[in-house]
Amino acid sequence: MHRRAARLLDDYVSGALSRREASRIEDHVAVCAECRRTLGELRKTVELLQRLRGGLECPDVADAVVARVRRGEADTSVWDRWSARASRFLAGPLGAPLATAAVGLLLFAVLPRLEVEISIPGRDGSTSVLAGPTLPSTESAPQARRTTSAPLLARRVNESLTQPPRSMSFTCFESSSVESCRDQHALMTRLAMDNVWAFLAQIEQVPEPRRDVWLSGLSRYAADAGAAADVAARLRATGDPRAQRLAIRFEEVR
Amino acid sequence: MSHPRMAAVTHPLFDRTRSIPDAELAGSADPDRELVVRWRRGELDAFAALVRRHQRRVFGLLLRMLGNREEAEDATQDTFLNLHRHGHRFRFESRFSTFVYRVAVNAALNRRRSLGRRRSQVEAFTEAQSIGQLAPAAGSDPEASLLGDRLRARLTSELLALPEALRAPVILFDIEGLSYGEISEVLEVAEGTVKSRIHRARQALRARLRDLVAAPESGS
Repeated sequence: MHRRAARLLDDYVSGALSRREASRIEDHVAVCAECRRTLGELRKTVELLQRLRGGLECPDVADAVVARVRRGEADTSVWDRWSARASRFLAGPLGAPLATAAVGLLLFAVLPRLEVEISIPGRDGSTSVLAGPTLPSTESAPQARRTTSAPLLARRVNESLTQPPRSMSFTCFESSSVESCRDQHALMTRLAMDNVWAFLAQIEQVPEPRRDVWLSGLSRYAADAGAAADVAARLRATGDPRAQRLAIRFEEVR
Repeated sequence: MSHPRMAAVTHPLFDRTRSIPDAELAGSADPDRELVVRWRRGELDAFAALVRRHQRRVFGLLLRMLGNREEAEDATQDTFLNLHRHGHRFRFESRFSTFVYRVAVNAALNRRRSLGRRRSQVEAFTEAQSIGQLAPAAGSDPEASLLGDRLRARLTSELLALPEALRAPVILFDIEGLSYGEISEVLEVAEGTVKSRIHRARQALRARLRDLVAAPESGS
């Protein structure tokens, strides 16, 4: 009974117990010193809180509020009105099927077309960070955490031939270890170079205006990465005249 | 509707919502019913009367929730502006005063969120100090020396020290005198949750106010 009574003392003080339960609590409290003390403290706590009732000097805000209403401050914004309508619509019979269709569209039609361009934290601009699968040196890695380099191509090129790349930062946090930062860098570099090769293999399929964007980016990465020879060979293997010209330029530089 | 500005202000709230048939309101015993109905018809005077009727309780609740007089006054105004803005959502399914409390609690939470918890607490402490000393006087009967403003300040500061989830239920139950059911509607949580939060809040307050509530040792 003691444990049950201890649990119900709060309800007893609140007057939330039935008469029968209340009388059982009273019987118990009469013989249990601990519950008697707890009940006394609880009653006193509630009495103290009740002393906060009233006694406040309350400002009259009615005139100020009505003036603000007249100034239009309580009008709903266009956004509020539209969001309320949207909520009502989504709660309606057509809401669930349409929301499902929208999510499906997003997953299967929009997301696969998104391209991501990744910046790899590297050294300053004059130093290569795109050395293919080569890892940055241990000494430069801590510094690399605070700087960003030229962007890299990433994601599947064949899924995104018509959209310009979008920027996304690759960041090694100060808290991550040098090793994990280097591993991430190597992985992203490898992905990026894989996509460079994938792009070159499909360059004929890329619409002309988009090719120029990719090729100019590509030449910059290749030069920065010291992968010019590799890139030049692959450029030469394509049938694109501009790629051929780029290949010649790379070879001259080399 | 003599003034064009009046029309612009009062119409949108009522035009965009379904008007409530009188039959729907007929069975309601809500003492605010008549004023609410007039307000819904676009009478700003009725709205002003509702503000005057409820502002004291709203201000009291907000002062205890926020711990700062100026913030509480601003939040009181925000409460009634939001009430005017979203009043069309009230369907007389509960008492109007419960609906007002719900808007007020939301205004307090929004205000705390926008101010940041830290700033509010610092200001709350300053506010409580400005009302009176927080600590009980040493060497005297604690309760007798903490009457009036000093006791209020102490209680206010102890309430502010409670977690937000526990503070609102205990204020609404023990100070504002709402029922479990009404608090459940105001806070939009189950009645069982309300009871448990009140229980935890009282336990915490009992521990913090031990110097005031503990019975003297027998025989001493």
